[in-house]
Amino acid sequence: MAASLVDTYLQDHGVTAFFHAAYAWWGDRTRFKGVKSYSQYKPTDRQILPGEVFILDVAPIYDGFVADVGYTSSLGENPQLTKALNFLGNLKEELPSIFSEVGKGSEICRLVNTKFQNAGYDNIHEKYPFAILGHRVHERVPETSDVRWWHFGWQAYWALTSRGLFGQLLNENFEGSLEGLWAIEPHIGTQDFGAKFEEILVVGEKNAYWLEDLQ
Amino acid sequence: MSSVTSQTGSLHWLGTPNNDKKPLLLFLHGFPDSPALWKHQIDYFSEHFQVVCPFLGGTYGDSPLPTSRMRSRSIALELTSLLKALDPSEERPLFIVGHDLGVPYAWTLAQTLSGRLTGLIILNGLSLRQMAHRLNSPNQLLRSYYMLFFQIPWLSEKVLTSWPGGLIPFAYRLGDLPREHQIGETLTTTALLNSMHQYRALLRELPQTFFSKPLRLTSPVLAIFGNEDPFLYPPSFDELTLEASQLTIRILEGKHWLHVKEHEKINSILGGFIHDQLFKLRQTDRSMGLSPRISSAATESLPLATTTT
Repeated sequence: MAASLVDTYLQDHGVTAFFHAAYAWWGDRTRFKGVKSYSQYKPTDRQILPGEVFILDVAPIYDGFVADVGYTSSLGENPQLTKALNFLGNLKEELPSIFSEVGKGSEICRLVNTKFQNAGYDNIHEKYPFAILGHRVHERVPETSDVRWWHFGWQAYWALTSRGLFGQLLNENFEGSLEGLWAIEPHIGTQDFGAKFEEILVVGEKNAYWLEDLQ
Repeated sequence: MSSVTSQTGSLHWLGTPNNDKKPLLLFLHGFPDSPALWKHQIDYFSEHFQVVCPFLGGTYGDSPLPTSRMRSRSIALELTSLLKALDPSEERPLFIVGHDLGVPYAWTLAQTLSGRLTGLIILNGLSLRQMAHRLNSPNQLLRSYYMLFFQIPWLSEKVLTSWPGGLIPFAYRLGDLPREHQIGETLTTTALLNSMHQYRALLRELPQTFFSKPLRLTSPVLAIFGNEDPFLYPPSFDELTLEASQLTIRILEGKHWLHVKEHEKINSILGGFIHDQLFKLRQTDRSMGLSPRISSAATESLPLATTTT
């Protein structure tokens, strides 16, 4: 219900297609506990309980641009989550300089993973398809139809495969130039929950910055 | 007339002025109606409740509304923003009452609000899922001929606009709506067409709804049906209980517009149900050591809960 309300809200505001439709996870599903196949990432009918952490993640296509965003919060106070979000906030501040200084995708992924371990968090984005820390996003994505398969719009499959899949996915095997637009989605886990953010990072030849900082 | 700015524009409603002390009663009208048909309920409940009767599905004004904006979840989001504006702290008791086409919206909104809702009352209407499962019943299909006719582009619009004095008054006569309440002819052509397009939006949702798992409401639900409704035959307990864990069904003598034709009886039944739920809420607040969210006047003004079936 929550995920479909997010989709409905976006559609009512002019979105006609999705890179991927909304995901909504809460409780231990935010760290993908019990998720064994891709179909199990999809939202379920489980009701959220007070104090539980939730994650919303959606990627609408608007005016030819993919806006992939992820957000973590909790229903009521959750001190453990506050701590996790502080860690993610610090990581977010560091990531642009990590991208511009380290330069190699595989090393960035390993460095982020080490930061997770040092802070005592599990790496949950390793459980994503292809264990990605992020993926490229592109301009001029067609919005002509909203046909989806496994929650992803045809535009996602087309955008990722037509340009060579492995160059589009940022994981420990990534090689090549990082220049371009990236949806970066570090996802950490504790025993009870997971937390993430997802934002668009602009990577240039010598610098990197969050797209939202342009405003 | 009052209005709030909702997610996608302005939402207009009839009822009583905002009062943050009174419990909220949200009345959702059907087709081809307007909030004016809740007049008897506004008069009856407005002393102790804040009564809100929004214009649904583009029935206010003269602007065409895209069919996509009439999906049940779109309307639920609009109504959620209305409720948020009226009750930002979400502490006031809230009842939703839907009639006819207002019921699928009421039910979807109830599922969206979950524990925030104090009670849901449905009058001669079904949720989308219940309707989807009924469409394999010849008995229901025969009563829903107009819904299927409304799916035909151009022709249905042509018939509705060139024969406004025929089709809508025919529906009113069939449903036994008193002449002085027949407001269909006063709706603008655009409002009437918007209103009809709700059926297109809802029918497109039916296949997905048919195969979806039922979401069971935990809030109490009261379903009231006329035994001679020409558009819907009364539901069985099994039919509704898949989506309602605390369900009461009342089948009354009458047709489709019971809240107008039999308003005294309906107000008494609504009052009884609301009284019952508010009384329980006061007990819960007291047992948790909280100060009751509602004044005793609100509950004492209503009739005691009537015997339920």
